[in-house]
Amino acid sequence: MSCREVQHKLDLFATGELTSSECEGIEAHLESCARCREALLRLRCLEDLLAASPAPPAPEGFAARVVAQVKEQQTIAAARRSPRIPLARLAWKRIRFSAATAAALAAGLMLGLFMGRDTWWSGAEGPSAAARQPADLLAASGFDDLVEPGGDSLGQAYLGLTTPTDH
Amino acid sequence: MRPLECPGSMEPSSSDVCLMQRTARGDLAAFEQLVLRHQESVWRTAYRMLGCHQTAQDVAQEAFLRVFEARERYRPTAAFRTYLYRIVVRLCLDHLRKGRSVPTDNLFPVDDSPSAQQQLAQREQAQAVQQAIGRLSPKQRTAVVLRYYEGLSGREIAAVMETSLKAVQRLLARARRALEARLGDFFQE
Repeated sequence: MSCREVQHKLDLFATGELTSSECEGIEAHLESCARCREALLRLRCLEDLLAASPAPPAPEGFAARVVAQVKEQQTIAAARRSPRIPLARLAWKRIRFSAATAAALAAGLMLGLFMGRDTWWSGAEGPSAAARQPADLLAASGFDDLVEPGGDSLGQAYLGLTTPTDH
Repeated sequence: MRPLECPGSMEPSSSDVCLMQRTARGDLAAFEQLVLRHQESVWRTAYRMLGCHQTAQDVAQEAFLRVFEARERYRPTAAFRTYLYRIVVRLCLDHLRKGRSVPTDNLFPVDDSPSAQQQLAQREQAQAVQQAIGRLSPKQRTAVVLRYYEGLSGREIAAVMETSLKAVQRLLARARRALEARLGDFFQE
């Protein structure tokens, strides 16, 4: 075995984890190699040096704090699993919000329909309704004097051009 | 394979596996028993890895909380101690990876020696040891703590670090060389 191999295995040699053949190989190497014997000695010194500085004990009440934290987490988890009231409140909030939105939309639509009622006309009423409208519009707008007798006014002609028909 | 039959009572000889199984069934007293049994080793490992009393306490506590959270998924495929060390080592390595520096706590209690000079020498030695360990790479530091402070075998260390035995041997050999170079003055003749 080379010195590098031996020194790599020194920790396991020290803890007795090597196979018997590996141990025999290392022991034979150590008998003839001062450098590796010194390495084993330094390993022992290092172990003693590290062992000479023990860590302080675990903090007082450590276990009790851990268990207390576990209980607290369990309580929080149980509350999250059965949030009956909060969920109902959330659902009611959503329903109210949706109803308010729907009402606003409906109101806007109604207003729009109402405002556009006189502007739009139903195509199902036919051309006669379209023919009546121009005169009515002129009357409603106060331009009665523009309606010549016989229904053949400039205004009527204009309206005839602009009013959609069913053709 | 039949599940392990655990005694119903809280006997001192209840194995870690039994205690974990009882914990999985909601037995908090069994979990507390586990904490009491292993708190020193978890605390020591965190303390030596991180070098700060408060941080080590937080990490050690977190390790046990993780054990509790995983209680229903736990399968005794490895020794419970290995499983627990693995959790605390991972938490420590995560902490170190986030670049949190190791504060210079006065880490080690000093003997109640009569001589002030002896106390000072002990304190200097303890400080030098912790600084030398702190300068190792996280993996080398882990191997050193588990081997020289926790007394784990090479195979146990390999299981905790989820690596090969050869890799553990290399880590320990390199760590020893680094520690010897930094602490050579303290080696007794």
